[in-house]
Amino acid sequence: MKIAKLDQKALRLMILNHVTEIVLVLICVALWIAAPTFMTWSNWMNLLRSGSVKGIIALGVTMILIAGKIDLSTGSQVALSGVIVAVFGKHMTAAGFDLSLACVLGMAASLLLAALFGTFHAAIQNKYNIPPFIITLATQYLLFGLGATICNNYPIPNMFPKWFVQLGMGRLFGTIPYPVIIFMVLWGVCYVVMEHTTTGRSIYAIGGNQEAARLSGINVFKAKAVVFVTVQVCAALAGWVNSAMVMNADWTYAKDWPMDCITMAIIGGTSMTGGSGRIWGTLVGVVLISVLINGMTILNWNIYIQYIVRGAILLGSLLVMTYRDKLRD
Amino acid sequence: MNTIYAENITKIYPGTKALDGVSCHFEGGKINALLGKNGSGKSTLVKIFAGAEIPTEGMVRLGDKTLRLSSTLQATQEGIVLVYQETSLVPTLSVVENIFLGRLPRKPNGLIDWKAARVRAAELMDGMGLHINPRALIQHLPMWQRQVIEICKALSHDPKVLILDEPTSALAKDEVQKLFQAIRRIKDRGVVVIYISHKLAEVNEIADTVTVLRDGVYVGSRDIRELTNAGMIHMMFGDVRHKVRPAESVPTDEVIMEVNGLTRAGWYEDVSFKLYRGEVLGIAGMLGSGRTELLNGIFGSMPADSGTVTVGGKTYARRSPVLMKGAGVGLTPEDRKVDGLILMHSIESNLCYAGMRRTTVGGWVESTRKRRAMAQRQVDALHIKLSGLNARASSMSGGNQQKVVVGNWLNNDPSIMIYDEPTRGIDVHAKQQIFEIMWAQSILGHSSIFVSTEIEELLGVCHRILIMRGGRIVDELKGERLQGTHTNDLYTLCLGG
Repeated sequence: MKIAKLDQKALRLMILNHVTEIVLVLICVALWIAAPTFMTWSNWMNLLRSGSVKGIIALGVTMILIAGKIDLSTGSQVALSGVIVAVFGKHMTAAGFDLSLACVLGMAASLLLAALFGTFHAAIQNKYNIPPFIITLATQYLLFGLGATICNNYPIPNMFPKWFVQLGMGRLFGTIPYPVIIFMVLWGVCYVVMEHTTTGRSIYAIGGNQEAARLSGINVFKAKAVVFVTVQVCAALAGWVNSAMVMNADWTYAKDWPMDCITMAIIGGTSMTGGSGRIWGTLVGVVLISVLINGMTILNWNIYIQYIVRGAILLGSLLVMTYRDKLRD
Repeated sequence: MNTIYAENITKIYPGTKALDGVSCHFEGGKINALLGKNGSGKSTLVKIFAGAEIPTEGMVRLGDKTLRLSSTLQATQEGIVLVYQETSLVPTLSVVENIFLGRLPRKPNGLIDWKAARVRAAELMDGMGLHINPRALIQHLPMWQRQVIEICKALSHDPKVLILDEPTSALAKDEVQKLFQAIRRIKDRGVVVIYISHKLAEVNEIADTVTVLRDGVYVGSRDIRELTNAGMIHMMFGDVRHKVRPAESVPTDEVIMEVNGLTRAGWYEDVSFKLYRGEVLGIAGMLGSGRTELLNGIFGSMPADSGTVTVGGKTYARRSPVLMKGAGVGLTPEDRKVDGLILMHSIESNLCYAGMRRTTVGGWVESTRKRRAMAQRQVDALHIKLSGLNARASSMSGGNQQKVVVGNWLNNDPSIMIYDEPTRGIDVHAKQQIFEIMWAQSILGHSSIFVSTEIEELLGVCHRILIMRGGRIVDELKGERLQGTHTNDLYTLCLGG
């Protein structure tokens, strides 16, 4: 009798642990039936291509949420990194330099700036113990204004060499979009780092109980720096891909992305309070959101209905997770 | 005059008898000290008075009225109020809001009658000799004023019985005097004041009577004038027996760590001592003597103003947990649930944090097999009871959690372990196992520093004991002098006579 009861609880926990995957499969099946064009290779490649750009950021966001921190400035960083690459292209070609060289320098500069901001966030968070929510809320404005200033309040179209545009538009073997490849490679790196290295272990530890981690002789600042820098660098990479896809650089891009990326991580099972989360889950979250948006567009649903559905899915997943944690204890 | 009676009260928790047929009484117009070491049942008794716990057997009587209390609200209505050790004030709200939290007076139109509330609050504070603006925020007030406001809050219920649980634990010396003046005013109104404290000097100063519990049993009540400090200590501790340290555990004369002139203003001053290889060194001091701050100062987890720590031939003027871990030092923190464990993570993870690098291939990438083996090693060595290595740390009992905190460090093979209150809140058997770990480490040539609130534990466990009082090392017990020391002597040394 007791064993049967335990088994039932274990079964329920197993279902709850994989509820996102189950929901994803159910939605896919429903869309397959409702819209014949949904379950095709080319549609899937397209939906994954658009999902991958935010997905790249969602990986960094997952790491920073696991560490018990947050970064709201990722959207501004996306726009800024595209603008930096384009500004280098514009001004250096005007001075007679090669466009490719200008682009490479621009990419290096944008990465450097992203890493600097990440380090800055980590340093003042660590030193003054200010909530990262506030710090990155401030730098969100700062980076936005910086982007607008350096391109003189005019978008810069078409200042990228062909190979850079391939980052967003190209396809491996003519079929798998490069953004998807970039996302999957980063996902693999992120997975190994978080689940199989001391760095990942330290990040989980500071998110679970920072004081206990510190007293275990874990270098807390190092772990913080890794997540703050990673999320900014992820945003910069996503900025390149995004600008390459639209062949334009504009400081107003990606304003609502930070929350979208947080949504992907949370739907994937990452906790807002830190200490727990799954990189696998974020992959599922990214695919789920992409499928939803794609499916609702195919079905010709009103864009505002789409927002309602997304809100409902996020709320639902939070309730399920809360219930799961209660059941587990 | 009111008198509160405990009549044959027994309280059984699963596995322990917290109170065993306790009958005693406390009179009005007097300050009645209630003493007993940790786990003696004094907190349980006052919680029963205050309706926070329901006795298994027996009853509470206030004057002629027998009370069957089932909630703190009911006890409050009967006029019994307990002021807890941790203050229950909301720091960001004003004095008046805190005093009337949840029951601010209303005007007929339903809005809050701030004027009436402020007038009443000012009256209560006047009565306690406290003259501050009722609009002031709690967070801007010194600790003693907060404690007095806590008492005002209790007094706003117009109590017949006021119970104070260690009200001075967070106060500085001059603040204690101001609080005492306030408490004496309450006594003069004929209220029954029950005063719990660990500090005998304070009890001597403020109390009229002393009532002692030991291991859940009523030992006796005396008039304070009939009682010496030694008498109080004997009532509290009785005749204590010690566990036996194995003969193989002998310190060498090789100095493994030297603390030199370590100072943190206001906490500890000019602390110097040597630790020898294989030694179990006790530091005996009462709560607030600066011991926890000292241990954390050595380990680098709290700041120190000056002084050095030398480990393995290297002198550290600045320390951090990362540095000291590298030097082979480990520390198990005082509050294991808050600082020692990541409760939401698995037992395996919690056993592998300090020694993280040891379960890697080449220092960075982890080996699942090595992790499991390292966790299992401590589970076996320390006899940790668990449902599985993947279970959360929160699922374990206190004693087993403490073993995980210790195991986490032992997995890093430290040559020096600092134990801050490793035995708090765990049962006798688990305590004995923690001592055995220290002795086993000693036999292996590793050293331990051991601090406990129940300082009688130190006597049987340690090779040498330093006495800490008011932030200074004032005495050292070793060899024959240590053997001739009894619990009562140790308390006398720590309390300062």
